[in-house]
Amino acid sequence: MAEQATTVEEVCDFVRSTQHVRVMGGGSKDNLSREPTLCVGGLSGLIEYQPDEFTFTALAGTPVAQIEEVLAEHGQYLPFDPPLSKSGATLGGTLASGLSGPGRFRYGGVRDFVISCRMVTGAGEIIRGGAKVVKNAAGFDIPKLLVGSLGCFGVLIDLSFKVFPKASATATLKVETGGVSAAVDAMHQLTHQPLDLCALDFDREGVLCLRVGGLAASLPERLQRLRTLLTGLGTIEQVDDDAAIWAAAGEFSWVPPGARLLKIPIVPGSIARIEQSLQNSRIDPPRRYSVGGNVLWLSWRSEDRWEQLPEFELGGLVLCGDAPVRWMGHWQDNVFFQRLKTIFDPDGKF
Amino acid sequence: MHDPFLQALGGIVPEERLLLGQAELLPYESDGLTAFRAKPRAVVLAESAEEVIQIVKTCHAHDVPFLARGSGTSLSGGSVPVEDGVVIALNRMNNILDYCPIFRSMVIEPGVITAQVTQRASEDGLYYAPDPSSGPVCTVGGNVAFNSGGAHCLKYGMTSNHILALKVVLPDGEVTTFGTASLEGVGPDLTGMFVGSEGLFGIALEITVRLLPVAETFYTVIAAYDTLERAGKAVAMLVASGLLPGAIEIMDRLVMEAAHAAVGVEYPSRAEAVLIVELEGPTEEVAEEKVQLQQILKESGAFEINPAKNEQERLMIWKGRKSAFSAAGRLSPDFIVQDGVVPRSRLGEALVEIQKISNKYNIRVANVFHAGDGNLHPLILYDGRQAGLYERAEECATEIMRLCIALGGSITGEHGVGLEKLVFLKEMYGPEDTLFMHRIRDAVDSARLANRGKMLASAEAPALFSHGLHPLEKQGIIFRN
Amino acid sequence: MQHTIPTGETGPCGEKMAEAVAACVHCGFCLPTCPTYQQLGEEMDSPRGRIFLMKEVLEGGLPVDAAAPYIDRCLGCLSCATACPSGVAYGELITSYRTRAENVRRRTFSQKLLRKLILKTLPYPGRFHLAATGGRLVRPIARLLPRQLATMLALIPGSFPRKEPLPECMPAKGKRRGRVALLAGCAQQVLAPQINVATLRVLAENGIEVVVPRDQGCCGALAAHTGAGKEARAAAKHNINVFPRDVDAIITNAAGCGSGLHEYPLWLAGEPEQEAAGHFAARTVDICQYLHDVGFRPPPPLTTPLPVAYHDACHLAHAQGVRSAPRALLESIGNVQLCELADAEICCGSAGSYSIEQPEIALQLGERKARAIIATGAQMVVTGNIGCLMQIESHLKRLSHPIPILHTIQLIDRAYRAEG
Ligand SMILES: Cc1cc2nc3c(=O)[nH]c(=O)nc-3n(C[C@H](O)[C@H](O)[C@H](O)COP(=O)(O)OP(=O)(O)OC[C@H]3O[C@@H](n4cnc5c(N)ncnc54)[C@H](O)[C@@H]3O)c2cc1C
Ligand code: SF4
Ligand code: SF4
Repeated sequence: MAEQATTVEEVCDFVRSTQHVRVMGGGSKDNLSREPTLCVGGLSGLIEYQPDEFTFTALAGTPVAQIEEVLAEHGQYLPFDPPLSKSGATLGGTLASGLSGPGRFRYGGVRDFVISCRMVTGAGEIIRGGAKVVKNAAGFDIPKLLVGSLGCFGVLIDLSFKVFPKASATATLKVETGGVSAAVDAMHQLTHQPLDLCALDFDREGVLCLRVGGLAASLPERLQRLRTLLTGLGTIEQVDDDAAIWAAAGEFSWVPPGARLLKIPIVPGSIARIEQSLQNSRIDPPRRYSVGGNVLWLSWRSEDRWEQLPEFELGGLVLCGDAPVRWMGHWQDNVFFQRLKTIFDPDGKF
Repeated sequence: MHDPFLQALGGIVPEERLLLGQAELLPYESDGLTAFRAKPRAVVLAESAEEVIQIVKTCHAHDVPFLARGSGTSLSGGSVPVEDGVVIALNRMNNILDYCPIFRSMVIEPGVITAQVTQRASEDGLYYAPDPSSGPVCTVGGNVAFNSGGAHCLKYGMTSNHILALKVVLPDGEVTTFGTASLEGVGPDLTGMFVGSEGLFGIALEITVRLLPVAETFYTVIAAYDTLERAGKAVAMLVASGLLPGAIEIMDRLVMEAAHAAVGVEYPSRAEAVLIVELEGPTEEVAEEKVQLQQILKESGAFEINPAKNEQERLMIWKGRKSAFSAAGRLSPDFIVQDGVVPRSRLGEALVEIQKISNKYNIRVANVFHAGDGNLHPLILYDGRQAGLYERAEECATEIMRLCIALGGSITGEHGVGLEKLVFLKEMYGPEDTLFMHRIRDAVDSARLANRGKMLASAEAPALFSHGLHPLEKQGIIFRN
Repeated sequence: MQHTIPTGETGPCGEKMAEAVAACVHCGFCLPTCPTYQQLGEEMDSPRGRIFLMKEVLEGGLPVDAAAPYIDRCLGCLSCATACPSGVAYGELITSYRTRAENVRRRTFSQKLLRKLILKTLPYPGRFHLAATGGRLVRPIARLLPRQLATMLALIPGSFPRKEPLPECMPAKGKRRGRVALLAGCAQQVLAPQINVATLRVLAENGIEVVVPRDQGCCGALAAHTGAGKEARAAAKHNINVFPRDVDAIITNAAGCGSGLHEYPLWLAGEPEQEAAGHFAARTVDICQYLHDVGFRPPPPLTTPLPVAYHDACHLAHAQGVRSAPRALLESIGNVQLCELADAEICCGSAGSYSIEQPEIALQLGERKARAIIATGAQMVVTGNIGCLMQIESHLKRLSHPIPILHTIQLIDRAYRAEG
């Protein structure tokens, strides 16, 4: 069973006295936190939040949902739509797995909003990186390094983020373009326009979801203009409860129970090739393209041949489901990474 | 040429691109911060990534420190040579290698001028968001090294938020790449770690930047206040209101005078400080937001609110703002620019304190800053020819820097630590965290060749020719002969 | 920038030079607008680098000759002064420095010869005509001559226009609105005498009486900008003496001369004539600016639309700040369609004797300018300086686009005479 840590000292002691550290936060990404040795879910709570400063600091094990709730009371939010928050994702887990949701499209991802961190290194020391102000160019940007690091540099203790004011009104248009390639064409038309879209996702049927946010007074006009732009691309429908559909997207409700879920970073230019491979395979897995065609969220059943993925030149992070690996890729071979690793984790505990 | 090291360099680039003479080296002795100078052994004008790699390898083989130089506009001494080291000038490496308007990204060489990225992308309605005031001069390579910011970083972030991928040569000549053209990745954000490392991790050879669509409408307004403090408080009100302008800037009386003399912009005559606020976005949205903005500005005590009537007026407002640092040369023969950050909610407090410090040292301080981010740029004006004034100015600057640390801020928002703020990094992060940074550096560059003596204070800092004792000298960290 | 220039020992302009150095904050805003930095990409060949080098020489830390190659490559186009937010008076610095440095520097025999040749011929219409004719004769052996001399020969036109004697006084047409004196220019009188004729006619057309002082000499700019301070001072004193005082303005139509006249107070710093030079400079104004200020009477529209590229001569735009007046005059002529050039602020490489002394850079800049002009699709080029005119004409020809090129005032003159 994993050790439960509720204080920084406990984390330090544990790291110092153990050979193998694998941290679990909320367990919402079960494949990443499989066989944990340390659970930091107890290291939870908002430490500092100054609404007029638009920054907060919280312990790494704090559930994202809890933070979102407090922020919402002040009309603020984390603009990168942290995924799986309803499934118990913690702040630290979100950062360590480098996950951003559909809102990444507009203002940036988790990397762009984290400003400061405290962590325990492999030597059991506590170090701090960054500063609790929205702008800082002093020293190495350690908080960014930790984004997506999957715990390989140390145990996160607390994190500070900057936040933004939440749009007072949002709305979503769904366009049935007829297929992925039509959706990609439509996307390319839209991403060049100054539309300030909050999110742009589409699924394998080519249903494009466009989210707009802003002041309530101007929203109808903006939607009208968007509709005009979209004319001819397919049936357009305004979604009734737009918060609900994006929340569902963030929880990956379309992934069949038990299936594996992968985050695959892509460039929009590769979508045509990916689609060809996937459609030609007999599997044709459920999937969703997000962040304007920069991420493919792919569901893969355990009975489907895993080796097909590299054959399709697809690789990424396996968040959920019982998969043979945590990720596919070679970032650990990077020489810069290896040099950094010797300092953060000299004994290879993480 | 008997020096085997120089001979080796001569084997990499033709003679005319290896500068060794006194007249050739002198102009490379300093950057935008002229208080510091150091003599390099050689300057190499590189024209390709391969050359840079070979030069770095040669430096490593001969244990000679080196640094990259873009346009030499660093304001913190970042591009002051390492004494007796090599300067690798990258300004000739200014090709756009790949431009994909449809995917909104561009791959460039490090010597490309920042403003040229936007210039090229503007054909397709796109732009590169980070806009340092030095944009028409500085290079993207320099911006990457310093994680440079600008007036318009409030909404879309600094350089780091717009760099997708990098190809770099590490200080021992090993070449590696970070990131891809995708906005997302898997694994640690090595790109994010490299950006802002002030050249200590090596030299960026290829940079992939992200582009954004140009906003449809801008609404730019100058609001006049009768005190600086009141303008500072207006910023806090604006930030708290939930509006998200593209830029919020403050200029005080002195800076307005300088900018007026430099580019002829007119400012409200009785204003002690002006706030520049720019809204950007879809036309309908801006139309609504500007009503709110005007309301807030009125409530904040602005006695005059002048919106730009057309694009030309808008550009003039920015021209005035962006000329401010250089224009300060008109106010005073010498000045020190500070770059501290304070929490935005404490801006008013910080301004009052700065005024007190200025009075205490009897040194004029002009203020211009990225108010929306809490990033202050006090210009500490002095005449270096008068005995003792440099020392007083430096003490005044030090006290302002400590004020930022005390208020929970940072010693630098965008200009970097460089040489100028070496001692203060430790004050900001404390000894353990600073030591950890030293260890990181040593792991990446065990010979400490890349930009030796910058950001992280060490015994081998370059000799400084400035007036009086540098803080590092006072602490006994560096000495001059 | 900090300096320790011993202002007491650096001549009458020592203080001015020190001021310029002090005002430079090393920000680099001048780099992107400097043609030599753009072409050569090295700090020594940038305004900031040159200021640094001059400072070092003046302080005594660097030999004059070591800095010379980089100072010599400066076009004196003053694009940097326009770009500088800190108000560095680069023009005053470089002119004063060159004068000072000339006394001490070592030049090779052929360099000396070339300088003599330039200084003793270009400023004298008669000699220039003679030398040029002679030059044409030796052209077949140009290969054997030093590179720069060869370039000089290449620049000599195949034939010269007929000499145009100018009247001593040209009365105004209709009611007289003003009275001015014209500086006729030296090289211009040989190479394009029509420009002066056009100037007189246009002024007359606008109700302005013009006197052309008989004894006037060269403005001295060529000498000043190559460091020949003595010759420059003599020229300035002479002109201050021979130009009448009872005119509203002294009109120049060659940008190089105009900016030279404006520099008289600098050249004569510390001399008894300094004050008179100040008054003289204050009355000097470019022809287009003058016409614009007195209230231009637009000529009738051209019969057909004509796309015209306007080239900003550096010595008009940067040195005298004259940018909008010529454009305004041209735009007031119906059917003239003004085209703006890309990188308009960059020099065409003519810069007085520069194209002779630094042929490679001049060549690159000339070609670049010609390409920018061709890209506009203009059917005519106009500019306010004889040097630019010659340079651009030859480069347009080299690129096989012989677009006709005129002085601004010539196009206006044609419009009055319905030749357009
Ligand atoms: C008038 C003025 C206004 C300014 N305004 C701003 C502003 O608004 N915001 C702002 O952030 N800064 C500003 N600056 C500071 C400066 O312009 C920036 O720091 C800029 O990024 C420096 O770019 P550069 O090309 O001049 O780099 P340099 O000064 O040549 O170099 C800066 C540092 O980067 C390193 N470096 C250069 N190229 C590379 C590379 N390819 N790989 C690795 N390291 C490299 C150098 O070694 C050096 O340490 C201003 C400066 C001036 C003079
Ligand atoms: S722009 Fe002016 S102040 Fe800046 S470096 Fe050039 S000359 Fe100096
Ligand atoms: S005068 Fe022209 S060539 Fe000379 S430094 Fe200035 S911009 Fe460069």
